[in-house]
Amino acid sequence: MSVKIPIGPIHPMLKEPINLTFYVEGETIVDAEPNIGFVHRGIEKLAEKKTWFQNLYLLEKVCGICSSSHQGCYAQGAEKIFEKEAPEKAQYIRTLMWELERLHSHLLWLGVIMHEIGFDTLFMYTWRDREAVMDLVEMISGRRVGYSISTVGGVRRDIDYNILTKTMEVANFVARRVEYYEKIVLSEKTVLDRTQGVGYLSKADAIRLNTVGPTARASGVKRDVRYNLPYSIYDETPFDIVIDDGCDVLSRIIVRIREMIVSAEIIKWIVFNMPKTGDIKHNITPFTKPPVNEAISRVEAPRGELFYYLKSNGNLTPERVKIRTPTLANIVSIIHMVKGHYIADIPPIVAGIDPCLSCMDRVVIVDINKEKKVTMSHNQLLRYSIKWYKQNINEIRSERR
Amino acid sequence: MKLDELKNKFGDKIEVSEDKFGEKWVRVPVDSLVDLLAFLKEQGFDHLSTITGVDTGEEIFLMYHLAKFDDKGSDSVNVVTKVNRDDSLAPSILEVYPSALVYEREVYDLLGVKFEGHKGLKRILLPDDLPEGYHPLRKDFDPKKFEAV
Amino acid sequence: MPWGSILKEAMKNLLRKSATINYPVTKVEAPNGFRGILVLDLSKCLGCGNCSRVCPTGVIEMVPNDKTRLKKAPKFTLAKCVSCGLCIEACPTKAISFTRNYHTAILKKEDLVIDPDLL
Repeated sequence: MSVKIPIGPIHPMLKEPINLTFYVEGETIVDAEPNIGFVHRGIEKLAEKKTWFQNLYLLEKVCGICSSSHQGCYAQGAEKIFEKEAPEKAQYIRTLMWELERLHSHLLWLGVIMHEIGFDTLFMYTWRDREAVMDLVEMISGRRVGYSISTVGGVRRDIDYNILTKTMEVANFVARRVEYYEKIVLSEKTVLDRTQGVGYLSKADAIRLNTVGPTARASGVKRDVRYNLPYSIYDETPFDIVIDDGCDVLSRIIVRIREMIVSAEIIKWIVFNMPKTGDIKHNITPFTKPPVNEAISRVEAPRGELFYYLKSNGNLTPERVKIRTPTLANIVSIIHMVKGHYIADIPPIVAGIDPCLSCMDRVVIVDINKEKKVTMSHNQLLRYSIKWYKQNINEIRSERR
Repeated sequence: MKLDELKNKFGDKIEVSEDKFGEKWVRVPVDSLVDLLAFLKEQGFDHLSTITGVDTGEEIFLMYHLAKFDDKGSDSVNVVTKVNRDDSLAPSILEVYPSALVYEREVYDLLGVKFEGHKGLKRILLPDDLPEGYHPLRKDFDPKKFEAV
Repeated sequence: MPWGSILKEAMKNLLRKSATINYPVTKVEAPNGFRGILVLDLSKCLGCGNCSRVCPTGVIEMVPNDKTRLKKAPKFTLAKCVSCGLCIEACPTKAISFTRNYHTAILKKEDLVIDPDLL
């Protein structure tokens, strides 16, 4: 018989709520069950009551960190429905914003996972370097978060010469800092003890459970929408897919660090090759009715494959908007990855898939054998796991050799 | 995979078409759904992106979006089937694609379509203690009828 | 040396100034092109109502007013505004524009209402 541990959702200190129940025997996890839906806001139903242009500003608020991916994917699908393709200069600007977003999202994630392990120094450094990217995005689009740059038919703002020069400096700066972090991650004993051999997901399981994003690429699966089904201008850029064979949490860190270096290369290529003249959008008024069509749009968000399905029946409002975010596709693999691990390994494994609906909140540990219930908050679980690793580090090192 | 191979194997039961954006659509009645998906999985379409449910007011369409991510040639195909609005029932494809665990629960929760063969079909996004028939994405949904909630 | 890689960086950081800014004691100015609080120029307004038709969150309401050509003017409740800019693009005479002011913390709700009768 195993112990049931529910980890609850609402906690004022944490970013997003997820509820996970772990079945435990002693210190080893036997099974897990996710329970989601605490941030359900009814966006798909609300999108059927707003017009095609008003939905651009509703759908960018689905996620705070990958807001440009959601808006750009919707705009790509709506352009298919209106049967007008975005002009070339608009696609360059849209792709530049997508790659800048990937940089700041991966830097944020690197800090968060180092905080989950207890290595707060790297958390502070990465979030300080991230400010350079946020200041640049504010100069290009007008806001640090929720930069509504895409519209149906192109983009809304043009970029001038001094901003392009600053973009090159920021890309070089981030690439240099991130190479330094890769050296630290591969040589610090603290990081290696907590992440090497933890959260194993084999290549066959990653394909069978349909994982997406850097979680799948860290298990050696060559899946990236920019590589397999290229969209926008990705088939012309120097894009190279990044994969690793380790299948554990350390591989996921290495894959995301190397993706940031590739993103910096793509940003520099875009700055050199951006067309100097050209339209930035088609002039479609907000009161235009589209033809009857249905369209599908796929985009590689920082967390994986983002999927949109749009349907129009000739009215000013869409008939159906369907969104599938990448974290929903990766939840099924958490259940598989935690089996056989200790309770102290829960924070890095759950944070390793980069959940865009938060890490854990409150853990409830039920010991089946003793029939005793213990409730811990997120901070208490983090402190427990750091202390447990310090006490048992010699046994763990000999076990994993 | 060419669309004619599909036509040869399944004959008159299916209709294949390609729209102006290059997407392939295959329409199939609900009783041959699991066989068609098992055949497509053998051809290399091992990635299920999601399951979409659309309520048009007269019937409910279920769409299964598949993709093949291969070095030598990637592709995507969409399978469409129809179910009734009252007592909607469809077969579960959990044996073929294990990731359908989450997507079928979402379609049941928001549109009220039951999948037979799915172990543990319960609500995933909305609270668990809502009354029967409370499915918000349906076109005739009126929250005032459930005043007691 | 494995433990020395982060030690050198930590020593350098001891002599640098802190990365955070002492707001609100130190004033921070937003860059050019920032999308802040809206402002209305009533002398250019026609009263056509385009802005209230495109707003996604219901900020703008047309109220009767004598100073415009069509005898109506927009009233803004800026607490609901998300700074999308659709009203600015839809206005034919460019009567609405963004400022660089981002201080939206207020004590009375009336501070964030633009009433055309008082302009």
